[in-house]
Amino acid sequence: MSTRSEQRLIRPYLGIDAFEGLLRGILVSVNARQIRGDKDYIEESQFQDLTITFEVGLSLPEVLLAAREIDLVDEDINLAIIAYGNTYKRTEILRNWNLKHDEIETSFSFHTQDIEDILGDSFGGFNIVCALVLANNREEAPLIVYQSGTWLEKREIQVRAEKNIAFFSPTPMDSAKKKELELNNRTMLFVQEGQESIQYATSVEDVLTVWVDEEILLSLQSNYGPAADITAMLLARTAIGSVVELIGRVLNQHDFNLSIYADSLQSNEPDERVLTKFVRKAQKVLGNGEDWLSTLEEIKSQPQLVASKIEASADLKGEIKRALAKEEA
Amino acid sequence: MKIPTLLQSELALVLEALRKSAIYDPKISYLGFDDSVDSDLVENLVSELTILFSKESKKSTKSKDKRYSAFELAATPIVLDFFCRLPHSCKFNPGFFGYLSYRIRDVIVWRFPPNDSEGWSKNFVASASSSEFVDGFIPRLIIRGLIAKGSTEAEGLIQQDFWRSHVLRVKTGFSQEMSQAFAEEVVESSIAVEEQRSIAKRIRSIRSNVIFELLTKVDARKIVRDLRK
Repeated sequence: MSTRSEQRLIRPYLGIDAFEGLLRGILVSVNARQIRGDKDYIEESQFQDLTITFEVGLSLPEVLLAAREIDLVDEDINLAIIAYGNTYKRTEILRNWNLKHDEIETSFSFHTQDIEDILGDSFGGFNIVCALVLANNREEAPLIVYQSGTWLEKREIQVRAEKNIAFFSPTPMDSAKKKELELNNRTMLFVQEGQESIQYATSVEDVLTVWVDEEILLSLQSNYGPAADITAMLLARTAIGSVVELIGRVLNQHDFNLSIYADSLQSNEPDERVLTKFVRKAQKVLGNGEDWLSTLEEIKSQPQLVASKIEASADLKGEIKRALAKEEA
Repeated sequence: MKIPTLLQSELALVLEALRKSAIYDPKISYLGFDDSVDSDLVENLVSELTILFSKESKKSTKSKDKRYSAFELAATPIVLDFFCRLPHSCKFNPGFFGYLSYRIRDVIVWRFPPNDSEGWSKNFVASASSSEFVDGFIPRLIIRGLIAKGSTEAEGLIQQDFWRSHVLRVKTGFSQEMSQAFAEEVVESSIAVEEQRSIAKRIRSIRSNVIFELLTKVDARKIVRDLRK
């Protein structure tokens, strides 16, 4: 028996079910990649240079048919598109068209610079709400939509930062640690596998630790030149390569059913495992659309190639420097 | 300017020391470099808040609560101005706000005397959770200031519980019009705390059906007034 419970909003109005699904023609893309579902993750660094594009395909006849059921006409309804920045509770009404009086644009875009406190919110992320709403107040009556701003149909999209994109934090390694790890004192980098399998772990620290010579880490923290950038890149490459290899091993296990896992990815079920976060990232980078099985097959058969593509797509320099700053203490 | 940040682990040691009235000198990390940041920006904020704190904390003619209120009232525009000058690289960096909190720790400790609760440590942005950012002393002043801006009543309403429980921690805060309308009604009608809670609850309930952000102040005010009938 399932123990999951589900919250459902009960709305005290008659006749508004007819509006259900009427916003399906509004497509939202972030940096030219269409958002599917109601939640999406993008790399933290992308928030600084992000373009969100709306393609508005609204079937007016369908809306008016639904409106007629509750005695509304086109003039009574607005199509609103609103953006919310979560960290500072910022709101921007991007569009608010009246279905009778305004011409609805079929496509428009906003860049981070236009509304930086919202689209640039890499910490709390931002939400986009598209809604058909009552344009003006009507006479109050039970079970009737009367308050302006009441939504008849609403679609909300959450965009959040994918914070663990570098998938590791470098850990400083002094002489004593090298001795404990049975390494030569001149060792600069060592990837240590953790106790937990990547198949189940929700934190990458439980899966692997990337040890880096403490002097190298110190020099990176105080150096903003190209040498530090290259070293940071190499560290990232090593870490991502290690994670991909571990995932490749899991996917190659004879009892791991790729099809079942692909189905669960397709259904967008909540899954906080490092494995799933990584596969979702790979899916975006590889551009396989809804074809999760192809992504899994690629990781399985060519893990290092996938790692290279992920490395190339991310702002690893920035990510690694952030990770390095976190380790300075 | 190199952007200073304080790691959570370091901040935890600072807070532990503050709880024991001891001193801990944390290691400061630097997260990149942003030449658009005025290097005096942080120092000016710290200096202005410290001066204000010295002035308000020593006034013996006012009650403690009145001194707190006077401080927050005067500090909000300073913090807001600071926020407007911040570049993107700082605005969304909790470690930067942890660093600022450390720098004005005397002010925070005066305003919120140390205790063992997790709630107290949130004043210092001691958590990397974005949902707890509003509980930070400086972020709270910034967000409250942004929402109240333009409404004399809202700007002057200092009741911390009102803002924290009824605006900042809940979605009502996303609607400047509704938040201001509620604050104005509280000020003008001297609404008691109990009734504030009841109204706040009903506002949240209405929000599930109505997009407050599309309302005018007049509409929002009417909703709040109707809730009192």
